[in-house]
Amino acid sequence: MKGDYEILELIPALCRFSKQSSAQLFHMEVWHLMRKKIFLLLAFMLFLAGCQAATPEPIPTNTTIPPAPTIEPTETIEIVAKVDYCVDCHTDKEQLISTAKSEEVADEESSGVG
Amino acid sequence: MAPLEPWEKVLVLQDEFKEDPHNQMKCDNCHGGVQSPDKEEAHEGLISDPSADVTHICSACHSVENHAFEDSLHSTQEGYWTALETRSVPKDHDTLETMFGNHCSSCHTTCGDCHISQPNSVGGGFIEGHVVKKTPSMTRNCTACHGSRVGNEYLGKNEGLQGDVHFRSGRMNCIDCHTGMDMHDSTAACTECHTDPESAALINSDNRYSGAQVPGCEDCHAEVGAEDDSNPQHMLHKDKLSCQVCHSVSYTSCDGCHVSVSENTGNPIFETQNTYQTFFIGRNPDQNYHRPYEYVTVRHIPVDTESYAYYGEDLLPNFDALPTWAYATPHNIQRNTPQNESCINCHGNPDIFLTIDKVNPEEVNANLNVIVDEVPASVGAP
Repeated sequence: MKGDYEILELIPALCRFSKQSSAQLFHMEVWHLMRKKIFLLLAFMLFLAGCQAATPEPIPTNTTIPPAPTIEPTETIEIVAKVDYCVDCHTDKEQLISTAKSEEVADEESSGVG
Repeated sequence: MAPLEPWEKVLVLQDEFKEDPHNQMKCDNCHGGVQSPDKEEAHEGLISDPSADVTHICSACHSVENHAFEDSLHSTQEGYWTALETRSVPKDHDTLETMFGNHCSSCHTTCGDCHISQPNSVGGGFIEGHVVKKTPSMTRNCTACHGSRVGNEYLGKNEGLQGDVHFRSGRMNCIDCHTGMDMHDSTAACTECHTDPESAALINSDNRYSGAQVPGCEDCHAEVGAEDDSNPQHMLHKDKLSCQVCHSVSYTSCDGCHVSVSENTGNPIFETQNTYQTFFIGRNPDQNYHRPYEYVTVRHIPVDTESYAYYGEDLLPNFDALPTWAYATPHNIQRNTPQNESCINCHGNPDIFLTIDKVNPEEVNANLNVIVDEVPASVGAP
């Protein structure tokens, strides 16, 4: 890259040799340099694109297959029924009799036909 | 009806209730409470009658019945209020509401009172182990409340008087005439005819005799009064007399009900002075399209000027605005009755008409539109 800029130092001598103005020569040289940089940039981008396309599919890191669960043939599943205390008590005549509170028989204070 | 033992009132018959669709719900869905083996703890927050609340759980599935029932006479007891408001003045309504809450409201009916349990007014308790009965029991639900007059008349429990022919001969139950639709919706029959807004505005359920006769005798006996009716008496009297005038026999009247609160127990109590059997034909105090009759059977209702005196003085200043001999539909119908044996048993017979001499002098003004001034003239026998 340093060589590219050194050519700018030669502009005065070239002006004299080509009988063109220094400004014209300056633009010519800058354009020359830019074309070169654009070419390099395009080449670099093509390289990157090629690298990406060539990237292989990532391989899953977790490749361990869990072992199938094993069921012991002698094991049984016990279903525990939820106790309903309301039903338990209110369907048990003896229990209701033993826990019933005797109702206070209020003296019939009303009289006559209601 | 023998009272139930305390345990008997709450015993759930598991086998029977298992077949009931309501068994799909858990007890605490309706009754609240706590799941606990301890009785006291289990009953914390218990709702004994979940249907007592008008927004109750029954409406989740039975919304149609529930919506109508909220305005039905069984729920509102509007008949009481119609009479109380007519005889009183607004300044006393708060006091009368207190009285009503202590006494009259015990007859308020819930879904459970008809379909699961006996009414609380007769001690409560399951009808059939908490099975939800689509059809209420006649004796344990209907006449548990409507017993002293309707029940005794219909079942023939008044001494010397036969039960209603529909019961004796037909073994008909209450619901054979009083359908579920009528029980749930007091104005259901009205809306069949009152369809436009103007006529619909006339619909009310102020009391049991508002609007159409539901049920009506003609619902089954359509031949009565029809062109081909072979009974000339029906043709002569069909719009002049209610059916009961010719086809009921003596029924119960009461006098002097007074309500109060017991000084001993704090319980609301009542005292009814007299109960007796009468048969009187009076003038129809409310002749209208549905009840055009000139004469109807009347019974004495137990109200008097001092019925609510415990709660305040002169709470019924407009006592005379309603008769004390009220339009009645006795439930002891007979094909043959003493008065329909012969023309002269009615015509020219003052004994069976409510003439002024049969009315308590203090109640004459209240009954002016019921008292028969002139007994229908005698006609040639029979």
